[in-house]
Amino acid sequence: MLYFQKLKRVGKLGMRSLIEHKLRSLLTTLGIIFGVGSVIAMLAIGEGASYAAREQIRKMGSTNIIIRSRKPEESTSATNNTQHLSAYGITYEDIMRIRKLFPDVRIHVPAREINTQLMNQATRIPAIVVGTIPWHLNNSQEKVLYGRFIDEYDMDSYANSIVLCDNTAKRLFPLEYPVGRNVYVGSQAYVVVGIISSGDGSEENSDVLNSAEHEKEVYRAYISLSAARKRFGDTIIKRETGSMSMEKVEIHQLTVTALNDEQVMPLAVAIRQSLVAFHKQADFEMTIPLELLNQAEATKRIFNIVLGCIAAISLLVGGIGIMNIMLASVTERTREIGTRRALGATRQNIIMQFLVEAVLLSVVGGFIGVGLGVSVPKVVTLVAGLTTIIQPYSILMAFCISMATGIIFGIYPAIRAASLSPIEALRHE
Amino acid sequence: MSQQNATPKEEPVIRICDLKKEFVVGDTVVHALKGLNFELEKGGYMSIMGTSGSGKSTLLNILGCLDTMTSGEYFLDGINVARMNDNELSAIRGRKFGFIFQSFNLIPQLSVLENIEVPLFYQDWDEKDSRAKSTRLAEMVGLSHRVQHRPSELSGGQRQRVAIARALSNDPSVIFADEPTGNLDQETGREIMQILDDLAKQGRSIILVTHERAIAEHANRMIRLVDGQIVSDERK
Repeated sequence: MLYFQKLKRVGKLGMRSLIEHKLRSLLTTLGIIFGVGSVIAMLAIGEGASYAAREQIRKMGSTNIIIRSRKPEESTSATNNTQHLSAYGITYEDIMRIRKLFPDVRIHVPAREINTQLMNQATRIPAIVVGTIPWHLNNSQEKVLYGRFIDEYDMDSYANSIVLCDNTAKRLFPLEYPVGRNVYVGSQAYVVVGIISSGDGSEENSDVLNSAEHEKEVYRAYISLSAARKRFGDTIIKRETGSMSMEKVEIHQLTVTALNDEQVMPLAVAIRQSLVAFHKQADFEMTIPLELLNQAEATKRIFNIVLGCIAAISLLVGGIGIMNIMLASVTERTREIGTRRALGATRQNIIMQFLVEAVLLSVVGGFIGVGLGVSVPKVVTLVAGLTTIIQPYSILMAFCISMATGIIFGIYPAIRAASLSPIEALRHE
Repeated sequence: MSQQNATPKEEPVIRICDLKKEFVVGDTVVHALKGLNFELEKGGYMSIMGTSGSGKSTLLNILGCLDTMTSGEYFLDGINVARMNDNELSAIRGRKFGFIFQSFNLIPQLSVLENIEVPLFYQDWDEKDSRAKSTRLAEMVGLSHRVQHRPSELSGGQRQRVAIARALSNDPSVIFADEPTGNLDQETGREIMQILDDLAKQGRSIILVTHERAIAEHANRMIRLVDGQIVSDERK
């Protein structure tokens, strides 16, 4: 109790002698201020950026493995042929094989994408029509806004039911309620049965899933997978000027869901091997959100290490600044030290006095730095619209480190002050 | 003026036996103090006189426990302090001594009251008690109207009054005054000596170090030091 009281009084005293030299104290603490401030600010900005990336990956589901069909590289050289049929991608056989090999996993959303056009009486827009299964929505961020999604009946009866994404609906039916109206996919008429939201992250989501579709707005619509196979077959014919190319793709995308996170990587390796054995060309690609997540975490770790080094350097510089000024202060106040010693101060009292001053300098610097570090990300969020997340631990850490800096760089000047003999100190001019 | 209130049988405040101090300067040994013996009885008012180089400052430093002796014994209130360590000496200084310096040695960033409280701080006095005491002492030396001032805002005489108040704050056994008038004009010096004389009359033990005979004569007993030896010991 008494000790704390004493420390409090020494602290008060130290605070006064720092205030006595306001400018000097401020300049001395600048190193600490900027060190602490920049670390907190950079951590907050970095954390915000990696949070956004991780959220995007997490939306894909951490237990998922996404397998997509991809046009093999070498087939591009053959496009000069006036007629060329290229068959590639994942097949129904692949799904059956995966199902047989890994009976535990769930295989989701064998989506079938068809690049085509959607029309009504007034408008014609390029669109991606996705042949899908009724439980597609279970595994996605999208929600039904009006009407319903494709159901089992549509699936079984090959019904010409179509569900539009809200942007597609807005484009085709800007003034009308779209549910119940007709839309033409190619020459086939479909009845709009529902509207789904593309979900807030769906645009970015599709970016991650398919790097080929970006920039321009993508219009999507969903029909049942059975209808898609029946109406479009597995072969897509594209007519371009002077040439015609055909692509045969059975399944564009499928998602395999493992039981838990630990199984994801081994499962991915096993599936890849089972696919590679039956695919001569590299005509599929696997996206493993968990792997991406791990990569993002690893990147973040490296980022944190780099930040840690920057912080250490700036705090070192700040600490040297403090040590420098404390040494000057010891010299300047040698007589005071002598007087205090003559009046009963022990060496420990003197050490305490100067150490407390050094720690106060660094802690006050730390406080201002925390203020700076907290406000900079706020400004960044406000001005640049970036997500920033201030880590509470970074504030605590910065604070503790600045305190430690004060102790480490204050101890030498303090010991030097105390090592003077009282008469030497008193004689000092 | 003279007042002998100490009984002869009482343990003296200070008793030194064969006090020697040697400095080694290069290859030669300088004998600064060559075996001094004397006692200061309780309530005694003693002056140590000598020219510069006579060893009076060295003696004062040793008596004030600011410096250590080479050999000999030093009893303070019956306790031998000759072989105490640094922390014990600090405690002795803080508890038993009051110092008045030639150049005042006030701490510039502290107010008058805070300067007076410095010794109490190291004696772990409570803040309230020490404030009460310092206020009383400031009043005693006639500075109650300037208690919140900094030393730099005071005249030389006022600064020395603060130093005297500070020397009294811990109720010391001995007050050491090292050329207390050295930095003051004659008139102010007289005022300061008046305060010291009054303190002696109140029964304080005082050791006054000076090179001026006129100042030394304020004391009841004068020791003259030449070349590290006592050459005369006069009592009034």
